[in-house]
Amino acid sequence: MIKAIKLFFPLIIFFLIATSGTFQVSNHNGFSPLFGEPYAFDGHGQNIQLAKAKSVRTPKKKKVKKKEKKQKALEQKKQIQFEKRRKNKAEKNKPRGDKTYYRNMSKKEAQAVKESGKLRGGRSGETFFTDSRFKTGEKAKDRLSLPEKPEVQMEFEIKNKPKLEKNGVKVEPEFGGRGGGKEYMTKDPVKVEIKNVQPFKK
Amino acid sequence: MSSLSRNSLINRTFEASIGEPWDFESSAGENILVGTISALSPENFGEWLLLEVKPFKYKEAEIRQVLGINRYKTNQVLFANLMAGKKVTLNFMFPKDGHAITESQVWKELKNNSKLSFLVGSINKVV
Repeated sequence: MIKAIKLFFPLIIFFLIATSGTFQVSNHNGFSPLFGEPYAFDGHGQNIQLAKAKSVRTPKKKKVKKKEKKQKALEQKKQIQFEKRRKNKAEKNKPRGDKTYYRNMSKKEAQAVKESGKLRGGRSGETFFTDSRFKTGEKAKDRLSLPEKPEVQMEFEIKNKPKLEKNGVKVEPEFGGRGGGKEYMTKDPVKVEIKNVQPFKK
Repeated sequence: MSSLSRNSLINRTFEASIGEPWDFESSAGENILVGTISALSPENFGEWLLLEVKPFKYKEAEIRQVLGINRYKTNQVLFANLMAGKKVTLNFMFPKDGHAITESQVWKELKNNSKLSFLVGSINKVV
């Protein structure tokens, strides 16, 4: 009996230690089979919890790298979308050559446009025009907030590429007419091909 | 110009380009209006600028004062843009007979707008 105890005692002790997770023979770093907690063996028979152990840190690093990659990809996507939008806007801001616009003006200005080939006779300052047609000079004055009642409505196509500062903006003056008309504005000279000059009814 | 405070706009000189009427002329030149900002509307009470300008002719009258009013009231914040040095597009209203307006008379004058005419242009610079 004593012989049997002497024989099996080291085996029983070894089994108890192995199953409690305090020691693993093949690997210094690992997980307790019972509780799943990370442990490491420090070489002096003591257990160290593996909060800082290598085997646990590696998946975290991978996760961080993945996150960084995702973020970079997102930023690149955003940049591409921003560039696309900017290009589209710039394209939109160029008046289309084939589109018809109107400018409501005096007979004197109409003559200056015919002679120079430019709206407002090519004078400096803002040039306003619209893509809306008005039946009367009174309505054009009111909706576009013009200082004087225009005498004629000129229909034209733009032949150069002026940079538009206002692109179909609604006129909403605090005073000076009702507003509500759509307005385009540029400070560049506007070369035009006149399609038609229609006098307003008096 | 770097950003200014609201009150520091007073007595600043400005230069505006005028688009309407197309053949506008002042003593400063063709399609140019130059002057100083003499008063601003009170806070939270609409937005206008009272401007003393280099004279120009309107029919028989000589105009030396105009009122700068927003042309795009929902798309443009007048004072904020001016303070930030941005361009603002305005209707420059003035009495057709050229009489002077005081700060307290502005709203009365604006309501009686059949006696007013205006220019359309933009303040490009406040110095």
